[in-house]
Amino acid sequence: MENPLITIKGLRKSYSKGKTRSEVLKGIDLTIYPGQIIGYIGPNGAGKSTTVKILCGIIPDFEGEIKICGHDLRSQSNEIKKRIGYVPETGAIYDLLTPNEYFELIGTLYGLDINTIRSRSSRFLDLFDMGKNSDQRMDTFSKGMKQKILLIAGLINNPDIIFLDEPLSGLDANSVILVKEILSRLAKDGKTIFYCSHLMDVVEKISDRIIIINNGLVIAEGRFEDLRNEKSATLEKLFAELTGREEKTIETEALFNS
Amino acid sequence: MVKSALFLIRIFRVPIEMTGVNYRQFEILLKMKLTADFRNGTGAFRNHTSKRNSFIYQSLTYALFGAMLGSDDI
Repeated sequence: MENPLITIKGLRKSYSKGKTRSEVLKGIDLTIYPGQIIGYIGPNGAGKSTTVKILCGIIPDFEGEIKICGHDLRSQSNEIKKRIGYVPETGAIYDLLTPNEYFELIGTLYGLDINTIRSRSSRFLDLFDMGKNSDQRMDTFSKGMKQKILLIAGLINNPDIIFLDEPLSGLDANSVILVKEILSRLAKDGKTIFYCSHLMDVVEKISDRIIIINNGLVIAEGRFEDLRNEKSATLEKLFAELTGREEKTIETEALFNS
Repeated sequence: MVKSALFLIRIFRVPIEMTGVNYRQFEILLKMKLTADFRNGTGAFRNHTSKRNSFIYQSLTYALFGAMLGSDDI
């Protein structure tokens, strides 16, 4: 069997605010293999973004053991960062810069030469129909346009693992289709995609393994076909069933009936 | 003006690199920070009469702090 690309053992993370301490992740264990598209889903506050930020090295203090590409995340995070791409939901983009300047910044930090940066970014910009905007300041861009820039920046170093945290946020329908195509193509090329979302239909279509978390714990994982049972024909229903949304539906009914 | 500031900072390339800083990364961060500040009109760029001098001072300050923060010893 292939060596795992990501191994997570007993991942815990808690935040303190004053005297209160809330545990966001309560012991996550995961093994991810190369070439998989992982759909990582859960309700708001389940710990999805925290997991992704820990895996990308953005949150350095956590409990547990994480190995990515054979490197320990605590001691070799720079080696890991060279091989990953991260697309945040709403990134702090430097919007006084132009896309070309922004890609030059990101690409140079990854150690790419300027010609590689220019050729990769122009291909992606053309794909997203944004070639004409390459030298415009990004403070005039819409949310969707900025999200496309973040997507390109996440892919510019040709990473082995791509972490996407709600990447379709603010994108129009055509761009959503395009991103889905790009993700499928990347997976075919052997890239591992860690896709974090609450858009069930997209996760259901593109993921070949689904992980559902709730209250900081993995409550289900596997292929959608394996997770599905008679009651849950769609991922949305399965998700509602596992995360307790069905009870809320009854409560909503009761509220309006009263 | 950004280019001339970077040219000036390049004189200190060797001592900066001696502190363990990756100069290419250091330079791109400085370049983008100065570009953004210049466009935003913040910091030293508010006063147009002494714009050039202020720009040089700001570039040197960023370079100094960048080298300190980016060095291996810290």
